[in-house]
Amino acid sequence: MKVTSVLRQSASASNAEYFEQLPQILKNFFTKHSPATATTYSQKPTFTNDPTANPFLPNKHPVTLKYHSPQYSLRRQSVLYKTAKMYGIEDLLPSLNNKKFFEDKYTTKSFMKGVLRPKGHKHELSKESRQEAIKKAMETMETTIAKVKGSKYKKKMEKKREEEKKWY
Amino acid sequence: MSNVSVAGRRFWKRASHDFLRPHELKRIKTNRLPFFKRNDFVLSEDEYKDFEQWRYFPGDRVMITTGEKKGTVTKVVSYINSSNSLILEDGPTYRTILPKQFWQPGTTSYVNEIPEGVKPQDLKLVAKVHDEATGKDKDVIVHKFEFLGKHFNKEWQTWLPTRVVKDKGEVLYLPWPAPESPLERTGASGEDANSERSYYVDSVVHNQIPKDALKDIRNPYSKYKRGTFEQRHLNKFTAPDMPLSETKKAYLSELEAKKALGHKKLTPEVKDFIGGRVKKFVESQKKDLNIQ
Repeated sequence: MKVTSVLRQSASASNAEYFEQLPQILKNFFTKHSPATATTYSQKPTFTNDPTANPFLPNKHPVTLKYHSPQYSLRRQSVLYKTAKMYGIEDLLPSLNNKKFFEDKYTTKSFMKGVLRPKGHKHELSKESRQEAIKKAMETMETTIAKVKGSKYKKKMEKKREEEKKWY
Repeated sequence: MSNVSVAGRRFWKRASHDFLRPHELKRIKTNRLPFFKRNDFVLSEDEYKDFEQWRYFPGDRVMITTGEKKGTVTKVVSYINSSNSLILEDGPTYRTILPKQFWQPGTTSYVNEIPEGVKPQDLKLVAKVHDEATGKDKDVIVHKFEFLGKHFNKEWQTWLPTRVVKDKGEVLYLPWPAPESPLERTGASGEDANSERSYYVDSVVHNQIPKDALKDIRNPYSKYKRGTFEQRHLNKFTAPDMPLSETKKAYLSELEAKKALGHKKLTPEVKDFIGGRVKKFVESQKKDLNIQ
């Protein structure tokens, strides 16, 4: 919606008029931090008093040697980037090292090993061996029962087998 | 009483005040067998304590409004504190058996007439009013009177409540009866002594009282005496400021440096540059969307 308001500007409008159309958060940001083309912001954390210190990164204090959290939280960084992208000036912001947006976020996404090749649950992993053990037990069922119940059962089973009707 | 147990302590506490509790006393009074004398005593906490409750003073002329002696005009003699009643000069009496040890000179029988107490609510005050028509004083029965503040009674040499009759905006004062004989002054100075002036201030600058005499006038050990507060006391009770650490100093200097820079402002060049970038982007968007 904000872009459409900018689009309504006539071609003869001056650059300053275009700037005035920007959202307040962007105007505030560029008041405090000059565009990235004017100053080269550091890609890595530096000292807080360094003129090239990146406000989106945690920087170290020269006296206390303690890290100060970034001047802009990750959420605010996202808001600033997305708003700037709407006006095509995202490259004027200091670099966001550990954040990705839109297509970039999904195309260069690295998947986890487990997602690509899942190991499976324990019951899935042990299915084959369990079924094999069942098959083996079924085959040796009679002998196993006979072992427990004794010779009487063995004889009974033999008799049953003899009495079994056959087609021939 | 540390050697007495809690129960024992409770017992002593009760025994020192009223041995029987109020509800026990009430039960005894209501459930006992018939008794010769009508005992109408009240509990110690219900006893009358001030004139507003008694309403009449020994010496007051009163009229009895109830009982056999109804309509009799007589005088209050004394109070009976135990029954909150008044003994009158010519009031009601009752017949009772009197043991010999209580016999008065002239008593000849065990059965005697003894004055009975009358409650203040069964009495009306009789006041004297000057009748201008006849030029004589006449008795008037006061239907209703009330108390209005206090006044210093010279005859009794004390503060007494003021009895008044209010009628149609008029306030009529009812004096308390005077004592039978004037009170003797016992060593105290006269009532006008407090208004006598004995000390005059001649100078605002110099104190009239000699310095040595001040010790006698003022209490040197008074708890209200205020001492003088000096610098050494302040020094003693004020904690010293902790020296600032190097880190803190650096932090403060950094803050000051930031303050000295003041608020940043956008330069027209930066505005123009960013606005130009936006314009370029918008133009390209327009081309893509075929917007004129």
